[in-house]
Amino acid sequence: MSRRRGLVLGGLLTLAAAALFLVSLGIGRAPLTLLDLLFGANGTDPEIAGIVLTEIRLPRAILAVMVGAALGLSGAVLQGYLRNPLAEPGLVGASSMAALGAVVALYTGLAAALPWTLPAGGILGALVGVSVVHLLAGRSASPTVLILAGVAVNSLAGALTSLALSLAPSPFAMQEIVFWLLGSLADRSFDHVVLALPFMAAGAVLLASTARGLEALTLGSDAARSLGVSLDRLQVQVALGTALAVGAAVAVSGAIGFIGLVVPHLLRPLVGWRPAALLPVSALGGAVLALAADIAARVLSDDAELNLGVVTAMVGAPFFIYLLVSTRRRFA
Amino acid sequence: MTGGGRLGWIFGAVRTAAADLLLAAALAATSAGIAVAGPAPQRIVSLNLCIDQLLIDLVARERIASVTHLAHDPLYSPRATDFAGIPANHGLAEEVLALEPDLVLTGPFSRPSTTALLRRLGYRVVEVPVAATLGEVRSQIRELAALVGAEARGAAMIADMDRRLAALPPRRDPAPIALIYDTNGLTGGADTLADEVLSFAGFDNTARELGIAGWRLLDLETLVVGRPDFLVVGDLAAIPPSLGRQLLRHPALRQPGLRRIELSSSHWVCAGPAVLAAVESLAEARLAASAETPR
Repeated sequence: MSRRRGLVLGGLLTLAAAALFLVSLGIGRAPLTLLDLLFGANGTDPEIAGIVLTEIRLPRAILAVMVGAALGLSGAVLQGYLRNPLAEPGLVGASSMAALGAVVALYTGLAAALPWTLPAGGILGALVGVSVVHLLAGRSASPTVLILAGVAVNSLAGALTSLALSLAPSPFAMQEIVFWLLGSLADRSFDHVVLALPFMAAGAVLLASTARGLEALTLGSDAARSLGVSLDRLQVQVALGTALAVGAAVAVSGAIGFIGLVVPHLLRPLVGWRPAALLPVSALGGAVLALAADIAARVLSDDAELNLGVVTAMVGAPFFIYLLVSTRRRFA
Repeated sequence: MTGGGRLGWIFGAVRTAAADLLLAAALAATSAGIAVAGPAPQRIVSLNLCIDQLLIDLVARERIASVTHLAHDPLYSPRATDFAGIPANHGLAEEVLALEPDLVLTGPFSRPSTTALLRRLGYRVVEVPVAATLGEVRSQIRELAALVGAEARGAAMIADMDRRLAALPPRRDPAPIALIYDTNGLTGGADTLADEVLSFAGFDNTARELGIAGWRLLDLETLVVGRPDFLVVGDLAAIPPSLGRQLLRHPALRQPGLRRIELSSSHWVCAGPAVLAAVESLAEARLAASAETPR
């Protein structure tokens, strides 16, 4: 019964993602609709249409799907693994530390010489972030301890990112901190897609492979162990998967908050609270939310477009507060 | 009078009743005591990048006590290496004091507090208006040359500029269109030096056609739709890595119909001979391209 509900939900989310994907292709700074771009309506020059569609709008929409899916999936895995409703990549230090790693790789010129060092820097940073928060808070810690550990790591990462940008030789570095803190998909290209995709795919495979372990973990650690689940291995899968998926995503899109928090929460009741069923729909839901947020970022502002993180925070932060209140009630 | 600076002491002394003798002695002490402006300054400090660029051609290096730190930075200064060895300042009064200058040149954007402080300490501070166009730069060169006692050199600079302008290849109609696209997508529309550079080089400016006046950030899609024939991006090797530079490598800017010219934007930061260097190399690129494919 619940399996069928998961399938229906997955189908609906896929449809929504496909629709938003097309909408995303139809908007941009140039006054060209999807019909203009695809069929040369209104006398659109096919050469210009081709460049706008394939080099500017398509990579942007694809990145929104990739980044949203990575954040949604890792959020679902982290919440299941830590058995903590407030866990998400931004909170456990993965996103901010990934931004730090990517900033170091980019502004030192390393990434210009060796492009793969950009996602690698993000992944390394994310891995350090996740590990430190995990060490500080431990699994199944109270939400408060986890949040405090996350706050500590995030503020350190933010300060170090700011420091790295201040020391960077580029006079434009400091103003670009907005991209790293709030994320954006503006002016991205297929170079970024190609750069991040292999790492993010590997991370997604690792994260997806935690499904059985997370399922067992709902019965408690001891029960999970007796079911033959290696908790050490699960821990490595979660940390490495999050680092790969989120680290590479942040390296090409900046840190985008709240997607990993909101999406699993909204979908969990719809799949009967089963972690295994939650993972695929959270990835799809993340893609839907990221696409919608990226559309809003362009539509809401006439002049310079908004940062993606601003839009997700407007949705996510009130949700986070609501969650805090309801968890406090439960733990009090 | 808070003291500090020999000239300050002198000017202070002028106001006192028994100053005549002192003044005569002080003037006699200097090599050439000419009237109010005094002798040709020998320790000139410039607090403005655009003045730096003209000063280096007007007077001997030894007479320049300091230039702005920007003059040493190839991002802003087309001839940064020419300034090597000349002390850099950051426009701060403390730095100027230590240099004991006999002339401080400031531009319209120098900090008023610094200028006021230096004047109060008795230094000779002269604000030189900075030219926004090649048309205005002639009077700026003349004014600056008179201040530093290099009138002949100034006249020669202006004559050289006029000669180079006259020697430019003629504009051909229809002119190819070009866009200057720098870090972060910065482009210059009407009323900018960048626009003047393109026009002298025989191009129409895409940014002007898009209705842009002044400097503005231009997004990729609008650029593609604007369809320039030539894209003048900065000297990528010289720009330190940033997201803003990454934009200049975007695949949408690497289309077969779009010719890329890499030329440092430092050329059109200040009006002056450097602008002509940019105009000449762009005009050359235009001729080379039209020889390849006659339009």
